[in-house]
Amino acid sequence: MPPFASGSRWYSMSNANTAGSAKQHWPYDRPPTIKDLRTRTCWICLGESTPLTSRPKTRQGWIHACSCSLVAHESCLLAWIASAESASHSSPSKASRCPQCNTKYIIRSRKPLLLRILNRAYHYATVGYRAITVCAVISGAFHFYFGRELADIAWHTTDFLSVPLILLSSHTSVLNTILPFLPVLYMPASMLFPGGHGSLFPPPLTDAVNYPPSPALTLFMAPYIGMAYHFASNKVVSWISRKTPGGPHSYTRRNLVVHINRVAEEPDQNVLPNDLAPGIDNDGEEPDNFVPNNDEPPAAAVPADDPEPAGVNVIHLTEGYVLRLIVSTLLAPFVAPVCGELLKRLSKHSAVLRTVLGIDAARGIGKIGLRSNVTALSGPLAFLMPVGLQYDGRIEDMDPVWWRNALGLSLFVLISDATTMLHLWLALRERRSRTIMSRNFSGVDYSGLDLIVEDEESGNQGVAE
Amino acid sequence: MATFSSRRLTKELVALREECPAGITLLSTEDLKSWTLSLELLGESLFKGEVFALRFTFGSRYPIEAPEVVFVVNDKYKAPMHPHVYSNGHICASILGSEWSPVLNTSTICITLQSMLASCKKKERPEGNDRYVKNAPLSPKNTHFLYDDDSV
Repeated sequence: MPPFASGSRWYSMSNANTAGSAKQHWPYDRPPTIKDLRTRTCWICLGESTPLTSRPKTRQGWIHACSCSLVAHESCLLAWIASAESASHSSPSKASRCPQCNTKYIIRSRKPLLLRILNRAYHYATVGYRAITVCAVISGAFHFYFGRELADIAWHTTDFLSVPLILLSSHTSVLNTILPFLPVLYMPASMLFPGGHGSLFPPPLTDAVNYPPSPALTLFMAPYIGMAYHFASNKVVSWISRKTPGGPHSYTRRNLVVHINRVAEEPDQNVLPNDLAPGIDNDGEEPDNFVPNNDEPPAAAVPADDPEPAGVNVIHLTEGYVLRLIVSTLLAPFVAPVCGELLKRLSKHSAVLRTVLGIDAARGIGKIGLRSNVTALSGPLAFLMPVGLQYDGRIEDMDPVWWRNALGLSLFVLISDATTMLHLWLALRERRSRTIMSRNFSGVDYSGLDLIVEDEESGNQGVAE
Repeated sequence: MATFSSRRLTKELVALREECPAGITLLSTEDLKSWTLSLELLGESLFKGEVFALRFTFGSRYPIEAPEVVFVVNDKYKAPMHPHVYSNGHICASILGSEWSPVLNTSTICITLQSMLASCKKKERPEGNDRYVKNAPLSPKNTHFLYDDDSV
């Protein structure tokens, strides 16, 4: 069924643009433009402008973006286009064309190269994340079905069992409630059976003064650092969104949907307080002019008085970033050593970095590795140890792999989050900077338009014959 | 954004009170957000002589977002027996979903639904009606319809 099968009926209502009081002819050589219309009715909100007596200097927020007689508030049209882009079920291409004459709107916006690169990267990353997610699920199943050899290879990753939790804790609020207790759950084995000298997991607080912190203390701190990071990054996001032109915004981290400026949506507990900025229209509020009145005064001519239509302010970048969360959580045990290794290589060139990483130059880089120097704990207590590994030297003598891996992973999270924020910020700015090109009325039957014809020299209004 | 939608709804209501399309009557408007209209087919069709009622519910984002439109099912009204209308009144029509455009309005939706009924060849329920009705969400807007059949 064609969507506009009976569309012609509709225009009897919005025909204020064409059924003007006086049919006039057009004495000028140039085609008329939106500025020459005496009365205008927005085809989206049906708002009307006050009839004009003289030609305005600007188009006053109105546009004629297509090749037929439909005119609209630019803000309404942008809201419609933005909404169609955000809605998953509808095709954005539909909204970028006039529903009556099918002319494509010409939209200009601030789209720096960086945004285009990020958009492209986002697109490819989404595809990549999908593939990785599928592979991970398949290989997980493989482990289940094809036995222990492969699973044993992955065994060492349990060293970093709680490291992915840093990631999760920085992204979700769900875990925030249980995270503070995780270290406590994690600790008992080593608390109860302190291995003293050789244990990888001595009581976490006994060696708090050492630098770098012991593996136990690193793991112990991870969730708290994650929460602090979550808190701080939300602060940064709210700061960015305040700085973005276009007024107050809000931002939800959980589903990475950005709401800017008074969007009438279900309140989200994660929405930042600046969503509560004054000027929100309460949904349940009864409109004042509920009883329709035929001689209702015409709407203000300047759409600055118009309430901003909803919809222009929501940006969805959901799928790619949700997948990224899953993938980065899955891959954290692999990313961490890579980042740690990178940091180690970099530290060859920086004494400061070596100090930060706790790499003792005198001891030689990587002389003592975690894996090569550990022996499996044997004996009756083995099953109680969370990791089941023991080092038969002193913690202080070990190359602090855990520390640089933790730092590397933190940096990785920080950088990828910063990229996300940059992308969102640029996308917000692009959305905000959009303008639609207004066309003239060439090709439209002028006799159907209610045009202002005036003597442009003297400014007197002339009546055309 | 109540003012944005209510301005347009007020104008639509004025127009509907002045003149409704043939076969359409405005039954009630409890408030600006919920209207009931009756719908009947005047020409020759399978539904000749039957009167249906449509309930429109407009969200705060109307007309950027499509209204929720269902056939009223109660003691007085039944949903029409049509391959795109479920017995609970939910309608599978693309203009109420992916093909929605703000250029459409209450009266064009009614006319489109009239012509949808008028072109009906066989009175029957959609495939899987019972299953759908059993599990259907309260609002058809929460259903993801697949608009695969353009012929009816």
